[in-house]
Amino acid sequence: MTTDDLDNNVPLLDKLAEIRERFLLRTRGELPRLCALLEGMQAGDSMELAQLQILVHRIHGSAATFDFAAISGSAGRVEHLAGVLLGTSAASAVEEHDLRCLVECGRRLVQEIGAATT
Amino acid sequence: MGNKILIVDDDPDIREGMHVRLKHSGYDTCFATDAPSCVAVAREEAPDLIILDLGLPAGDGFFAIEQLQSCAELDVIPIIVVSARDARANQERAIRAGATAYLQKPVDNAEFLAVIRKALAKCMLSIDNAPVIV
Repeated sequence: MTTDDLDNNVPLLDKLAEIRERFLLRTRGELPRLCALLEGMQAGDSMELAQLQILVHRIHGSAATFDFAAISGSAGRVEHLAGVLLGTSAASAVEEHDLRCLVECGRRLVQEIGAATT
Repeated sequence: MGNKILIVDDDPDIREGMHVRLKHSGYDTCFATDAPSCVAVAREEAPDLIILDLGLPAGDGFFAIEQLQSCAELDVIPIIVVSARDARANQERAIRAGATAYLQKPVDNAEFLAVIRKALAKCMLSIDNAPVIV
Protein backbone atom coordinates (compact mmCIF):
# COMPACT_ATOMS: atom_id res chain seq x y z
CA MET A 1 0.00 0.00 0.00
CA THR A 2 1.49 3.33 -1.02
CA THR A 3 0.98 6.43 1.09
CA ASP A 4 -1.20 7.80 -1.70
CA ASP A 5 -3.64 4.93 -1.36
CA LEU A 6 -6.56 5.94 0.84
CA ASP A 7 -8.72 2.93 0.20
CA ASN A 8 -7.15 0.69 2.84
CA ASN A 9 -6.35 3.31 5.43
CA VAL A 10 -9.23 3.01 7.85
CA PRO A 11 -8.21 5.67 10.42
CA LEU A 12 -7.65 8.21 7.66
CA LEU A 13 -10.91 7.30 5.95
CA ASP A 14 -12.75 7.58 9.27
CA LYS A 15 -11.31 11.03 9.84
CA LEU A 16 -12.24 12.16 6.34
CA ALA A 17 -15.75 10.73 6.83
CA GLU A 18 -16.05 12.77 10.01
CA ILE A 19 -15.09 15.95 8.18
CA ARG A 20 -17.51 15.09 5.38
CA GLU A 21 -20.36 14.71 7.84
CA ARG A 22 -19.46 18.00 9.47
CA PHE A 23 -19.53 19.72 6.09
CA LEU A 24 -23.03 18.41 5.39
CA LEU A 25 -24.30 19.51 8.80
CA ARG A 26 -22.79 22.96 8.36
CA THR A 27 -24.22 23.30 4.87
CA ARG A 28 -27.67 22.29 6.10
CA GLY A 29 -27.27 25.00 8.74
CA GLU A 30 -26.89 27.50 5.92
CA LEU A 31 -30.17 26.49 4.28
CA PRO A 32 -32.23 29.25 6.01
CA ARG A 33 -29.84 31.88 4.66
CA LEU A 34 -29.87 30.31 1.20
CA CYS A 35 -33.67 30.12 1.18
CA ALA A 36 -33.96 33.74 2.35
CA LEU A 37 -31.68 34.89 -0.46
CA LEU A 38 -33.66 32.89 -3.01
CA GLU A 39 -36.96 34.31 -1.71
CA GLY A 40 -35.54 37.78 -2.14
CA MET A 41 -34.54 36.92 -5.72
CA GLN A 42 -38.03 35.56 -6.39
CA ALA A 43 -39.50 38.84 -5.21
CA GLY A 44 -37.35 40.57 -7.79
CA ASP A 45 -34.60 41.74 -5.47
CA SER A 46 -31.23 41.20 -7.08
CA MET A 47 -29.30 43.27 -4.56
CA GLU A 48 -27.98 40.21 -2.76
CA LEU A 49 -26.69 38.42 -5.86
CA ALA A 50 -23.11 38.85 -4.70
CA GLN A 51 -23.91 37.34 -1.30
CA LEU A 52 -25.64 34.42 -2.97
CA GLN A 53 -22.67 33.84 -5.25
CA ILE A 54 -20.25 33.80 -2.31
CA LEU A 55 -22.44 31.32 -0.42
CA VAL A 56 -22.93 28.90 -3.30
CA HIS A 57 -19.29 29.14 -4.39
CA ARG A 58 -18.26 27.76 -1.03
CA ILE A 59 -20.86 24.99 -1.26
CA HIS A 60 -19.80 24.21 -4.85
CA GLY A 61 -16.13 23.73 -3.96
CA SER A 62 -16.59 21.99 -0.65
CA ALA A 63 -19.27 19.63 -1.92
CA ALA A 64 -16.98 18.61 -4.76
CA THR A 65 -14.14 17.99 -2.33
CA PHE A 66 -16.28 15.80 -0.08
CA ASP A 67 -17.86 13.82 -2.89
CA PHE A 68 -21.35 15.32 -2.88
CA ALA A 69 -21.52 15.48 -6.64
CA ALA A 70 -25.22 16.42 -6.91
CA ILE A 71 -24.86 19.29 -4.42
CA SER A 72 -21.69 20.46 -6.13
CA GLY A 73 -23.32 20.38 -9.56
CA SER A 74 -26.37 22.33 -8.42
CA ALA A 75 -24.30 24.87 -6.51
CA GLY A 76 -22.03 25.31 -9.52
CA ARG A 77 -25.03 26.10 -11.72
CA VAL A 78 -26.37 28.66 -9.24
CA GLU A 79 -22.90 30.18 -8.90
CA HIS A 80 -22.55 30.46 -12.66
CA LEU A 81 -26.02 32.03 -13.08
CA ALA A 82 -25.38 34.47 -10.23
CA GLY A 83 -22.11 35.47 -11.89
CA VAL A 84 -23.80 36.05 -15.22
CA LEU A 85 -26.55 38.11 -13.59
CA LEU A 86 -24.00 40.14 -11.63
CA GLY A 87 -22.32 40.97 -14.92
CA THR A 88 -25.68 41.92 -16.42
CA SER A 89 -26.77 44.02 -13.44
CA ALA A 90 -23.65 46.15 -13.76
CA ALA A 91 -24.82 47.29 -17.17
CA SER A 92 -28.61 47.16 -16.93
CA ALA A 93 -31.57 45.85 -14.97
CA VAL A 94 -31.67 42.11 -14.36
CA GLU A 95 -34.34 40.31 -16.39
CA GLU A 96 -37.16 38.69 -14.42
CA HIS A 97 -36.85 35.48 -16.44
CA ASP A 98 -33.18 35.17 -15.55
CA LEU A 99 -33.94 35.65 -11.88
CA ARG A 100 -36.61 32.93 -12.11
CA CYS A 101 -34.04 30.56 -13.64
CA LEU A 102 -31.68 31.31 -10.82
CA VAL A 103 -34.36 30.71 -8.20
CA GLU A 104 -35.32 27.37 -9.79
CA CYS A 105 -31.71 26.19 -9.76
CA GLY A 106 -31.40 27.42 -6.21
CA ARG A 107 -34.45 25.40 -5.15
CA ARG A 108 -32.93 22.29 -6.72
CA LEU A 109 -29.79 22.96 -4.71
CA VAL A 110 -31.84 23.21 -1.51
CA GLN A 111 -33.44 19.85 -2.34
CA GLU A 112 -30.05 18.26 -3.03
CA ILE A 113 -28.68 19.46 0.29
CA GLY A 114 -31.72 18.17 2.13
CA ALA A 115 -31.59 14.78 0.41
CA ALA A 116 -27.85 14.11 0.79
CA THR A 117 -26.62 11.42 3.15
CA THR A 118 -23.17 10.61 4.46
CA MET B 1 10.48 17.12 9.73
CA GLY B 2 8.82 17.03 6.31
CA ASN B 3 8.24 19.83 3.84
CA LYS B 4 5.87 22.50 5.05
CA ILE B 5 2.78 23.29 3.03
CA LEU B 6 0.64 26.42 3.45
CA ILE B 7 -3.06 25.67 2.84
CA VAL B 8 -5.03 28.76 1.83
CA ASP B 9 -8.78 28.21 1.84
CA ASP B 10 -11.60 30.01 3.63
CA ASP B 11 -13.49 26.76 4.25
CA PRO B 12 -12.46 25.13 7.54
CA ASP B 13 -13.54 21.65 6.46
CA ILE B 14 -11.46 21.82 3.29
CA ARG B 15 -8.47 23.05 5.26
CA GLU B 16 -8.80 20.19 7.69
CA GLY B 17 -9.40 17.62 4.95
CA MET B 18 -6.22 18.70 3.18
CA HIS B 19 -4.32 18.81 6.46
CA VAL B 20 -5.32 15.22 7.26
CA ARG B 21 -4.24 13.99 3.82
CA LEU B 22 -0.97 15.90 3.82
CA LYS B 23 -0.06 14.98 7.37
CA HIS B 24 -0.68 11.32 6.51
CA SER B 25 1.87 11.75 3.71
CA GLY B 26 4.48 13.26 6.00
CA TYR B 27 4.01 16.96 5.36
CA ASP B 28 3.73 19.71 7.94
CA THR B 29 1.00 22.27 7.36
CA CYS B 30 0.07 25.82 8.19
CA PHE B 31 -3.03 27.77 7.24
CA ALA B 32 -4.42 31.02 5.92
CA THR B 33 -7.97 32.00 5.10
CA ASP B 34 -7.61 34.90 2.67
CA ALA B 35 -5.13 36.72 0.43
CA PRO B 36 -3.71 39.17 3.02
CA SER B 37 -3.20 36.46 5.65
CA CYS B 38 -1.72 34.18 2.97
CA VAL B 39 1.14 36.62 2.47
CA ALA B 40 1.60 37.24 6.18
CA VAL B 41 1.65 33.53 7.02
CA ALA B 42 3.98 32.76 4.11
CA ARG B 43 6.43 35.35 5.44
CA GLU B 44 6.23 33.98 8.96
CA GLU B 45 6.19 30.24 8.24
CA ALA B 46 8.38 30.09 5.09
CA PRO B 47 6.44 27.17 3.55
CA ASP B 48 7.96 25.01 0.84
CA LEU B 49 4.75 25.06 -1.18
CA ILE B 50 1.37 26.80 -1.17
CA ILE B 51 -2.01 25.21 -1.92
CA LEU B 52 -4.34 28.03 -2.90
CA ASP B 53 -8.09 28.26 -3.44
CA LEU B 54 -9.28 30.88 -5.90
CA GLY B 55 -12.55 31.83 -4.19
CA LEU B 56 -11.13 33.75 -1.21
CA PRO B 57 -12.59 36.70 0.68
CA ALA B 58 -10.75 40.05 0.70
CA GLY B 59 -9.36 39.56 -2.79
CA ASP B 60 -9.46 36.25 -4.66
CA GLY B 61 -6.74 33.70 -5.34
CA PHE B 62 -5.45 35.63 -8.34
CA PHE B 63 -4.90 38.61 -6.05
CA ALA B 64 -3.06 36.33 -3.61
CA ILE B 65 -0.79 35.03 -6.40
CA GLU B 66 -0.05 38.60 -7.45
CA GLN B 67 0.83 39.57 -3.90
CA LEU B 68 3.07 36.54 -3.42
CA GLN B 69 4.82 37.08 -6.74
CA SER B 70 5.56 40.68 -5.86
CA CYS B 71 7.56 39.69 -2.74
CA ALA B 72 11.18 38.80 -3.37
CA GLU B 73 11.38 36.11 -0.72
CA LEU B 74 7.99 34.59 -1.54
CA ASP B 75 7.98 34.49 -5.33
CA VAL B 76 10.07 31.29 -5.38
CA ILE B 77 7.51 29.26 -3.45
CA PRO B 78 5.59 26.97 -5.83
CA ILE B 79 1.83 27.58 -5.82
CA ILE B 80 -0.70 24.89 -6.62
CA VAL B 81 -4.17 26.28 -7.26
CA VAL B 82 -6.98 23.95 -6.17
CA SER B 83 -10.36 25.30 -7.16
CA ALA B 84 -13.90 24.31 -8.10
CA ARG B 85 -13.84 26.94 -10.84
CA ASP B 86 -13.79 25.71 -14.39
CA ALA B 87 -10.19 24.92 -15.36
CA ARG B 88 -10.81 25.93 -18.97
CA ALA B 89 -11.56 29.47 -17.89
CA ASN B 90 -9.02 29.82 -15.09
CA GLN B 91 -6.06 27.49 -15.49
CA GLU B 92 -4.19 29.53 -18.08
CA ARG B 93 -4.74 32.71 -16.13
CA ALA B 94 -3.44 31.08 -12.94
CA ILE B 95 -0.32 29.71 -14.63
CA ARG B 96 0.38 33.04 -16.34
CA ALA B 97 0.02 34.78 -12.99
CA GLY B 98 2.67 32.51 -11.50
CA ALA B 99 0.99 29.31 -10.30
CA THR B 100 2.91 26.08 -10.83
CA ALA B 101 -0.13 23.88 -11.35
CA TYR B 102 -3.94 23.99 -11.39
CA LEU B 103 -6.14 21.24 -10.01
CA GLN B 104 -9.90 21.30 -10.27
CA LYS B 105 -11.97 20.09 -7.32
CA PRO B 106 -12.68 17.29 -6.63
CA VAL B 107 -9.05 16.30 -6.63
CA ASP B 108 -8.00 12.68 -6.64
CA ASN B 109 -5.70 12.07 -3.68
CA ALA B 110 -2.99 10.31 -5.70
CA GLU B 111 -2.94 13.08 -8.30
CA PHE B 112 -2.90 15.74 -5.56
CA LEU B 113 0.15 14.22 -3.90
CA ALA B 114 1.92 13.55 -7.19
CA VAL B 115 1.56 17.18 -8.27
CA ILE B 116 2.87 18.34 -4.89
CA ARG B 117 5.87 16.01 -5.09
CA LYS B 118 6.65 17.17 -8.61
CA ALA B 119 6.41 20.84 -7.67
CA LEU B 120 8.66 20.37 -4.65
CA ALA B 121 11.22 18.38 -6.64
CA LYS B 122 11.29 21.02 -9.36
CA CYS B 123 11.79 23.72 -6.77
CA MET B 124 14.67 21.82 -5.17
CA LEU B 125 16.28 21.35 -8.57
CA SER B 126 16.11 25.10 -9.18
CA ILE B 127 17.81 25.75 -5.86
CA ASP B 128 20.47 23.11 -6.54
CA ASN B 129 21.18 24.58 -9.97
CA ALA B 130 21.32 28.16 -8.78
CA PRO B 131 24.72 29.72 -9.45
CA VAL B 132 27.02 29.75 -6.51
CA ILE B 133 28.59 33.11 -5.89
CA VAL B 134 32.13 32.94 -4.53
